[in-house]
Amino acid sequence: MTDEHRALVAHLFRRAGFGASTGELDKYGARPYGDAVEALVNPDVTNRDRSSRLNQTSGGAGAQASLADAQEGWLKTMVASRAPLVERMTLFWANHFATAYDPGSNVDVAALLDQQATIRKYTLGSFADLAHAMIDDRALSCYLNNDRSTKAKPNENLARELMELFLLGLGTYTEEDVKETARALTGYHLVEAAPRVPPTLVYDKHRHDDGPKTILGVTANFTPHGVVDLLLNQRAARQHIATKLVTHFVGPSPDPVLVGTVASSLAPDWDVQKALRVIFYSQQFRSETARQTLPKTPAEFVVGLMRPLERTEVYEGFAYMAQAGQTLFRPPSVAGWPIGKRMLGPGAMLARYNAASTFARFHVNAPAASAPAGPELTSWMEAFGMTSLSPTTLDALKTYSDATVKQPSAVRTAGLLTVLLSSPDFNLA
Amino acid sequence: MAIGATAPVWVRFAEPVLAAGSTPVNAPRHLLVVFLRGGNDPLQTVAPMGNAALLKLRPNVGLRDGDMSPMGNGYGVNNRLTSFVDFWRAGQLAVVQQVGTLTKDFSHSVATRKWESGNPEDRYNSGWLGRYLDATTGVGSVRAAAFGDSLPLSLMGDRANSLSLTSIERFAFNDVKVPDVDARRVALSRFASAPAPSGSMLEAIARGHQDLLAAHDPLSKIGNATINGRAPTLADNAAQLFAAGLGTEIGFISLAGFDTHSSERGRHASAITKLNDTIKNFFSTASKLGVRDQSVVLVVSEFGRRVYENKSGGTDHGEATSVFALGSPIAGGMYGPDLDLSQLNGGNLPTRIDLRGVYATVLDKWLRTNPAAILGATFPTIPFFR
Repeated sequence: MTDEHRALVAHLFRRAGFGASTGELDKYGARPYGDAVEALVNPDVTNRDRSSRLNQTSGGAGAQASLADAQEGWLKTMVASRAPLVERMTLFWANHFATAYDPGSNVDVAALLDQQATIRKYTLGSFADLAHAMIDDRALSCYLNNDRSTKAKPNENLARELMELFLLGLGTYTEEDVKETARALTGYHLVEAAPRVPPTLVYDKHRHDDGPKTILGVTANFTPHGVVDLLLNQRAARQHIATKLVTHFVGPSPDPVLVGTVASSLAPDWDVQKALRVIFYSQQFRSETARQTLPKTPAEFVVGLMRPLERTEVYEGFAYMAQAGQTLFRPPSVAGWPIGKRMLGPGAMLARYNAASTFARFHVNAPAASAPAGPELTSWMEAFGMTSLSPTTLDALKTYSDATVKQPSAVRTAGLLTVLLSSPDFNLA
Repeated sequence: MAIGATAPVWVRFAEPVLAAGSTPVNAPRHLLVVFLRGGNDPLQTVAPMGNAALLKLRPNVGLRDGDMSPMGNGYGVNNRLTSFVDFWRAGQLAVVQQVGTLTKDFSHSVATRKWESGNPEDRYNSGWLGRYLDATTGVGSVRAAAFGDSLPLSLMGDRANSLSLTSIERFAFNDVKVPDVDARRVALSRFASAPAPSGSMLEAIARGHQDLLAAHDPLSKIGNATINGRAPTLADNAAQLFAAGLGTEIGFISLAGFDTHSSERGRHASAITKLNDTIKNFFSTASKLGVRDQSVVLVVSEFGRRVYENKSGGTDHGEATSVFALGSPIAGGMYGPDLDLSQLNGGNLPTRIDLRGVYATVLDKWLRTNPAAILGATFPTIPFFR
């Protein structure tokens, strides 16, 4: 197959995963594009670790886990996963239903780990199932105070986010709709089983406001799940989710035609796999111009350099991700982590550079590590998911190389790796 | 509708005696925001003295007269806040009472998002200072800096020239000791000058590298060298950044420990001592570095606390809180309504001043920009600037 095909496969793996390995490039570079798409969208191994070296229980250990355990466990799962699109989409939905650690409001580690397990269950499945599960989720409910919403005093936070951020999008509903939706979402409260055991979110129909509500012009005795169904049945909902998916995978200012096609593919069963196939097969996704539209997120950056090097230092990886602006389980608001150019401030760029230099050092200090082995630039570049480099990066690598001919090879290896991984090319998704 | 439209917006009902120096007209201006996380108790900070009715509602928690320094207007400043006393006497402390959101938000996260976004219509996608940075043009690589793990919502905007750092000392390349460091920096400077189409993502990446390189050397020169006889604190760092010539207009520091549901006397005393140290250290270093008169400190918190105490010797989440502004450009005085215990709302001080009125004042009078463009509407300003 052609270099162009290999470049397309590399692009797909950067966007739908954390970058292709050289092995994956060789394999899918010699096969039809659809094979690569299917391998990602329909992985035969769901979320199994890649190697025995990285094969440890991940995702924290239930109620006793600390926040740091949970955060590092999540990063470890991303680094080790053999189903990278499952991880990409899990992070995508965790950002969509953004929930931040706030133990004072009962958004504790156990609740966040439960939420993550729920998201994982539906991550490539039905978005409708995920949306229904999320309104019963303790972490999200407590984060948005729905556990304290009562018939007498309905709290509008969850209702508002459900309409604005989670399901419909701004401009598609009225303030009155928010108020009525808040009434429909009443009935939940926390039950403490025993001291020091995390509480459970319980729905009690006697606490639910069972009067008629008028939402988006429909009058009925909406229950919480009834109102979720009503919102999911809106055209605006499919449009909203499609826009977010296309923006995430293709780039900002998404093509309305592609958004429309993706939105149609979500009807009627909200099949996420189907929508992702539409995106990955689209001309817009495959085009050359789409390849310079998105920067790597901190997660993509850190995981994208840890995976090829098979590094296990999740403490450092997590810290650099946080400094670069993406603290797992702690999005800055319900709107999620910053995206696009907002991720590229001087502090974030320093964190990215320091991550590159740190993991390059770890790699050189551990010569037993398997990849990438050779000094040849091409093999390195490809190990990190790139099939070509810009003139600027090539020039920087050559200048570095010329200036360090007298340095020991370990120094130069770490240096070249650092330069490559802090290049504009690697910073692009 | 803004509360100000129906209730008295502000009443400047007490002011200290003195007037102080003026600010040079065109000097760069700096704003340090100190966010007291958890909900600061305004009545443990600046409170009426000799108020038996108040002490009856908070018999264990409340400040006695001996706990306060008289301000000469029936109010007193918590004795731990020696810096507030000094600024009050100099006519450089404004106390704005009963500031809050228009809705009752007893959740830390929701109230914090409203305070930090400063515009409920914007719905948390950006912060009030982030939008200020977007709307205006600065002169350097680091227009705003927040100390902490990540950029607070307050500073989020579409441009990325805000910096979050844990300290100046730690804003450093971690490979300064490698033998090939110079060659590595040459490579990075190539990335900073990489040609890129205007408005493209590659341009933003190059810009990030430029800003990083521009900020790094001045900050690494500051490092952790002793200043005013002490290892620099974050408050010192804020003053040092303002003086570093990087065009830094905004600083942001968060202090934790104000969520005093129990044992409030001790807990609040220790939290407020951190605030006092922050104010003292910031201004002493700002003074030494020649930026004191161009600097204003704004102290905010996501909400106040219940006026009556709970059974654990603490207070629960309340409604309105007090905002404090300090610095030589400030017109010292008390603003907002006088405390009236007959006007409580479910045991809380009701909001009388929309927090956006405070922001509008700072944006208009100090940052010299049109507040309506940043806040989404016009809010009455409060005359706490000279």
